[in-house]
Amino acid sequence: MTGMEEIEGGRRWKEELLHLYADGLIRRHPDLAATAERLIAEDAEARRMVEDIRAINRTIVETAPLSPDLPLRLREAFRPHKRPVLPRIGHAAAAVAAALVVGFFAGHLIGASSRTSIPEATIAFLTERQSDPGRVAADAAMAGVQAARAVAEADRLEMGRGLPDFSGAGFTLFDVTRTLAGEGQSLVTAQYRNPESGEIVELAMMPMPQMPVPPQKGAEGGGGRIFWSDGLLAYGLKASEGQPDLGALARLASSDGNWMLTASDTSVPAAQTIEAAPVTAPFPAVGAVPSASSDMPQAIEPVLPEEHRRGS
Amino acid sequence: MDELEDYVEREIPHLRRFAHSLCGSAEEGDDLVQDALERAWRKRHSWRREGSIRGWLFRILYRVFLNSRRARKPAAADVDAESLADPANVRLSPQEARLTADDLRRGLEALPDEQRAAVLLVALEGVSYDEAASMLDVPIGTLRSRLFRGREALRRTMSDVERMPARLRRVK
Repeated sequence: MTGMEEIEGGRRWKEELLHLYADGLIRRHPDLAATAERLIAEDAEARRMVEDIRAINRTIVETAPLSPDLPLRLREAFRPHKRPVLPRIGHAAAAVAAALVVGFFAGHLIGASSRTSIPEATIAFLTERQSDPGRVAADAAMAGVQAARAVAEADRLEMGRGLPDFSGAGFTLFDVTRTLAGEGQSLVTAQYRNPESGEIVELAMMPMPQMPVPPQKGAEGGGGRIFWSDGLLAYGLKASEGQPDLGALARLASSDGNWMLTASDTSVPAAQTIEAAPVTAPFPAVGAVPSASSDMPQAIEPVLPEEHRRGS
Repeated sequence: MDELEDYVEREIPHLRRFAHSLCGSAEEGDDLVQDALERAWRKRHSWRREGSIRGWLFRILYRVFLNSRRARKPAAADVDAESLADPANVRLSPQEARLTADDLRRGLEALPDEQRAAVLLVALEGVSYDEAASMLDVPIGTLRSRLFRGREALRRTMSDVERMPARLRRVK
């Protein structure tokens, strides 16, 4: 080893020792600590270096405190995901779209009542989203809505070709309509009847981003209505006639695979039909619908965008 | 919730703190943590029980960070000045604390990503250099080099700033 190498090696050793000392990493090594303290006592530059490193560390820690709050999206991130997460801009969309969903259901299912019965989990979800800094700007949110719709709406609307099968509870489908709600959100409303009891329920579905919400009864009126979400679609179920067990129906609707197909023509993406606004025609019925009763509507031409109609 | 999920959830505040500082923005930091956790979920079988969960998660987070930085140049940091220095936590006057924190933030932003990560990780987590090297998935010598260079650059920045009259320092 040359003299220069020895000096360089000594300089590096000293530098590392001072960093270790400043970081409190040699407390358990009294000999090393004593050496560091001697260097500091003898060398003003060494002392300044240790002070500076400690000041840097302290400022970094003080400006980045550990936060006890845990955003829901982070808590849910290390969990199984049923579907791809929306793009980042979807977070802004989530707040707006979810508000639309809840707002719609509140209005649709509660009617003129001024009291709302939005589930607490949904409110918590909205609060968490909307309180997130930077995600409340209306322009960003609307841009997010548009982008999220472009990315995710098509798949979701394909889901609109199917409906939950309530035949296990004795209910058969007898009417389906699709309309537009709020900012162009597609809304599917389906009515089911139990021929034996005469009970009728109405199910409303619309796209809802991100956050699954388990079935919860509305606070008002007990079992008169129920809300839930599977993270893909938001559902609202209400009793139109009688007092059906909405919880049981919600569980049926939440069961994987317990859906029936209501549209046989898959050549036209359902998403395209939202261009014809408002859409009120029923879905084309399928002969092989297992729970379809005789009063289910017969096949109707699917609602097509204008250009498709002109071309036909 | 299984055991691993429970452990991971306990580490999220640490991941957030590091990510916020690394990205210079709380929102971008949370996005990074979310990406890292989702990746960790997909790779959960790669975690070996004898290893540290914190080290495993930080390694994933740092890789995701580097990948995202390669994909795009970092945007100008958008840090709320209020969050930079909490007067309740510092001995300096609130104004001085904010100035110091602001200077440090600018100094950190100017560092290469790799040096910034080393400086922040050791400061925030108080880990040994061996642990920090493992968490960033680099050899110990590389970690030392990045840490020392990063700190030296910060010291130069801070000392340059200190030489300026305080009344001029906030002028932009």
